[in-house]
Amino acid sequence: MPLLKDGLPSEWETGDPGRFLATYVAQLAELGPLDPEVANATATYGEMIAGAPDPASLVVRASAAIGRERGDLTRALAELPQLPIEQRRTRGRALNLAKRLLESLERAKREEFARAAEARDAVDVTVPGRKPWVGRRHVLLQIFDELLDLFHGLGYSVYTSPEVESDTYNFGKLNFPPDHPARDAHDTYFVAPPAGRKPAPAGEELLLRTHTSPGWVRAMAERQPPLRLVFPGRVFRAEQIDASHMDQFHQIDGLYVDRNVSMADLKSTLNTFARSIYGAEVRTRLIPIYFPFVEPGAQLDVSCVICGGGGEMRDGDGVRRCSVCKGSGWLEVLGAGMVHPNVFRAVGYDPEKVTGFAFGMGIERIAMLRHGIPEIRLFLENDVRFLGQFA
Amino acid sequence: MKLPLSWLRDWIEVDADAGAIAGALTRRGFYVEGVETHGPTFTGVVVARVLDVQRHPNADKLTLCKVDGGAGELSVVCGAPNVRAGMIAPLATVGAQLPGGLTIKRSKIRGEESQGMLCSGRELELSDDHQGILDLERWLGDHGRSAEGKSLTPGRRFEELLAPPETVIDIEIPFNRPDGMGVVGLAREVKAAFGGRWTAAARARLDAKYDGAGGFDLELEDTEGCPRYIARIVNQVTVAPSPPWLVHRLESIGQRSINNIVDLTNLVLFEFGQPLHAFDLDRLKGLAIRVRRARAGEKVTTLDGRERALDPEVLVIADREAPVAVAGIMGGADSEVHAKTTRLLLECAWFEPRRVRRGSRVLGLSTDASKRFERGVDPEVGPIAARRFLDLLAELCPKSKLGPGRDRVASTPAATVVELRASRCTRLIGREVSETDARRHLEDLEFSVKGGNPLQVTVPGWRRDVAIEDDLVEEVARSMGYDSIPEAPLETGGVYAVRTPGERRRERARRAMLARGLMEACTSSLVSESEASATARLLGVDPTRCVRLANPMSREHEILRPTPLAGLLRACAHNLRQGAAAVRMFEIGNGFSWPAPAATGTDERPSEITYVAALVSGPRYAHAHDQAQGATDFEDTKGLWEAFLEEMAVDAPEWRAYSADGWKPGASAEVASAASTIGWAGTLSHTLLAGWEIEQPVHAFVAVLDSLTAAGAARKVWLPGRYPPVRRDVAFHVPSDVTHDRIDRVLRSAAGERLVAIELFDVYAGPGTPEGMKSLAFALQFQHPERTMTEDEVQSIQNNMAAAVAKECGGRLRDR
Repeated sequence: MPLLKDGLPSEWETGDPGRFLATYVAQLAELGPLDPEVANATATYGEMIAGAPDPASLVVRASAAIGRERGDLTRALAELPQLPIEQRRTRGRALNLAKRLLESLERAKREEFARAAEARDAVDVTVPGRKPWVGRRHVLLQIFDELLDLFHGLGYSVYTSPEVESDTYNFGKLNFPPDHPARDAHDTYFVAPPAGRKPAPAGEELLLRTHTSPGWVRAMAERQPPLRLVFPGRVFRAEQIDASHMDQFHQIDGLYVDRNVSMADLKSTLNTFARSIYGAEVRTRLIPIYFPFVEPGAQLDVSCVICGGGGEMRDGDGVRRCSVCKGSGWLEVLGAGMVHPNVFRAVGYDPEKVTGFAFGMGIERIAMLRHGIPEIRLFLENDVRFLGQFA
Repeated sequence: MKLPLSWLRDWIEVDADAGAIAGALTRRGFYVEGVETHGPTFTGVVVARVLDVQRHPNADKLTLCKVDGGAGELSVVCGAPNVRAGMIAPLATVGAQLPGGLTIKRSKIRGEESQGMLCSGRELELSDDHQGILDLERWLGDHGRSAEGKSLTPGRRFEELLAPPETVIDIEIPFNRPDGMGVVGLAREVKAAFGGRWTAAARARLDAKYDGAGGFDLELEDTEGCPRYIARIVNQVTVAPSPPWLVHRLESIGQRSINNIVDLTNLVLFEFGQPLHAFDLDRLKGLAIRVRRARAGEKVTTLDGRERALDPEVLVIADREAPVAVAGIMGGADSEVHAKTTRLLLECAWFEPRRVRRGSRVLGLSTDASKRFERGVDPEVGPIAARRFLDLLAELCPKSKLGPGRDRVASTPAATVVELRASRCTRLIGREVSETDARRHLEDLEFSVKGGNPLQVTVPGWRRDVAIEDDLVEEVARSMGYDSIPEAPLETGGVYAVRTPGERRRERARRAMLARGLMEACTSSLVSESEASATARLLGVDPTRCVRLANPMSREHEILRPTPLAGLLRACAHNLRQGAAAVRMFEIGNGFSWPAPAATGTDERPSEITYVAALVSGPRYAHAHDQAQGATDFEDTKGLWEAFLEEMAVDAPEWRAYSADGWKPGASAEVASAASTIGWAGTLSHTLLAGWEIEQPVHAFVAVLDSLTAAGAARKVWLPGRYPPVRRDVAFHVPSDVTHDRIDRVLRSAAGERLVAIELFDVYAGPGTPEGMKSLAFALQFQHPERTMTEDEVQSIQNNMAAAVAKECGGRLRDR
């Protein structure tokens, strides 16, 4: 039986195997002296495989030669036992060599096709991709995140309390006497009783909390000292809305109550806060201020983050007054103080046994200073172009 | 409160300049908002007479003026349209410095020499007028200064026509320090800060005794509202313009001069914080004063010309017949001092703060007087203030004669004595404070201090804010200066921070939403009635249960949102209007509603539930330019919410068809966990969206944050099998009304634990499916944890599944 059973289809174009397999010529030359017939058949298949025009015809040609079932060389190997014993050895060796050679060639040729195909699939990498949407944290909540991280680090846990409060928690227990002018600073939204129900008795009226401080009262009434808590949340003031006033905004209060908490503890806590939020180089000052729920009361100022505390800004060749600190060089950032004994009494603590400090600040102000945001209204407008920029 | 330095120095001697005083006030709790110098900010400007005006040969809009500036004739080029021969105007001579740093030089303007500049009001920072140069004769006339006999001699320094420069410190007075609303109170603080002393004149004024002798028909009918009232008649007064010093003094704090009498009452008001009132005695009926509550139906026309209806909450000053003033708030127009007044009645009273505050509220009227009474005027300063007024009046109206008067004292507040321990100071302030130091600081503030350990501190009348020991600690702390407080090292004190479960859940929900590509929003808690109603109905909440404000500021912010969806829709509409193609937003925030009417009771509060709410509208991708792009539909968004719930570790949430107003019919669902309803999702109806003028489909999701059990912490491990799973695809014909959820449950339950995955991959109804049926195709995976499953085992499970579908759903296995 001839090695090439039926001959090869005449329309199969040939190619140069050396182009795909550098060692082809050398290996074929090794085969020639061993078994010229196998060498000839191999050379023929080699050229046919090398000339395969596409991956499909490569499969056909390779299997005609070395296919597991119908390949000519495979068949010849299977027929070896029928050969005379003296031919078996050399032919066997030659056939195995040839088979390996053609397999390598086929692999090389296939690789070449794959490479060409990849090259054909090249894309314009500058065309925009199929892009999913990206979520962003709201700029105010980013400030909250930062503050909560800071205060968690200082040992403060979060306490949440309701936005709809009663007069007594918002004012009374925080030492605002009824009809006191200090209430004027808290323009208050009151909640109307639902239809058909009587208004609440004086002091129990429901209102939208005007500050996050009612949380202290609730927390202290629930728990025993020592306490270290922060109270983040939304607060409300009945104000006409304009560029710098909103009828709702965000605050965070902090409270530390223990046996001997002093203003010196307050000072180091506030300075740590100021350096963390406004920068390590910021200068601070603590000055007295009045709030009904603390005594002594304090306000923390930081050196103006816009002008650096000089109160002036270079403007071309001139110098003008810094518009952010209004020339004072200082920014009011936070109110604080030692918890008023009446507040302790209102929750059943003995002001002789415990002392504590508290502080509270507005979140919008921090965001406005940090990002140069000119209008408070922008925070609740939720324009995606505005929000999307704060990564 | 404005504090002019010259006024301050009229009262105290301190060795400190304006900057130091301002700094000390701020450090002591009187926040200085600014220090300004009023008065001329220029030099080298003189009074000049324009002698002659000619057209500039080379410029249409300029003139050549000959000017007499006192030192010979000068040529000045002028651009003002109002310049004319004979006019008297300010001239900036060569070398003059003008506000803003301009220096006048000899110059040539369009070829003509100019030896100075005629100035407008704005160029000298005297007014905003820049229409022309300042016509001095007219300007002085307008400002009531001509009477002062200022001569307009050319060459006179222009500054001499103006008030002397004055440095004014602008101070924010704390609510608890009404004494700071008078120069004397602030002087006392400054004096304590610098160790200064009262001037001799001040000492005399403060020590002066008031003799209220005489007789006058005065009745205090409401002694609670008015415990003390000084009334004094002064005869033969002449109402006239105030002298320049008084005009300047009031102008320096932004008060307009009216006449000598009114100006003096104001002067004393701003010195002692004690409001005074002067009545025209002849306009009081029956020479009598009654201090009483207003009677229902009474009216009074106040000084501002408005007629005001009174009620019994309002304390009034009345004559024998009717109210003539609202006590502590504003005088009446009918008894006002006027040009022809010759007899006046001075009122110097102490009104109870809460009474004045109620009256001020009832009338909606807040004045310099009412602000001081509300916060508490020094109850002991009345006689001193009255005496100060009468002494000054005697100076201004030398012919006036003191008449009779009354000083009625119904009650005198008891002096407050507060004990102070130095140890309390040390404990609260956090630095060592000795009793000696505490005593010294309090005495500097004119507290009277006796005893020791504890100190017995008598609080002066002007410091009614000091009531307890800690108030005194603050006095000591601010006197020492908060700057002197050391920084204690930060210590844990044994208290450690924990993240609460609520906090963790909230953060997890945020991350899960952000991961779905949604923007975090922060929307208004206050919404309009229509916004509230529409979004309440979505959750099946009756809009009458929405929580209304009693005193809304606008219709837009009238009701507390039932869920954050209301604000998200507003934000969605805003962004679409602004040209955004897509809106994908979420908010974690509270929603409010009253409990259903079944539960009643007056002490009830509205429920306050934290929701995770989200809206999605617009294209699937931020960018895609092929068939992958398209409008987000119900299934896209349901996928988002499913992934969200999976991330929140909600086990096998059940989706049930749900309908309520505002959802698109047939495209909304209620989501429930094993325990409860946890949320709602779907496509919003075009009717609801029309309320926000939104024209494109919007998909919404709301979930109750606390129902999203972020489980996982205590869960026992489940080990995935390692033997190869067997995959099978099956399809069933089932009646059209059988939901996916139903058949999915039937299949899972019939298959048991060997079925490790089941996924719907095709839903079909149409040619080839029997009438009234649909085809659902599932990809299944079976796996045994300990060995490879055999073909028979798998087949047996599949048979069970087919049998269950037939039995429970009326379906059957579809033939291949």
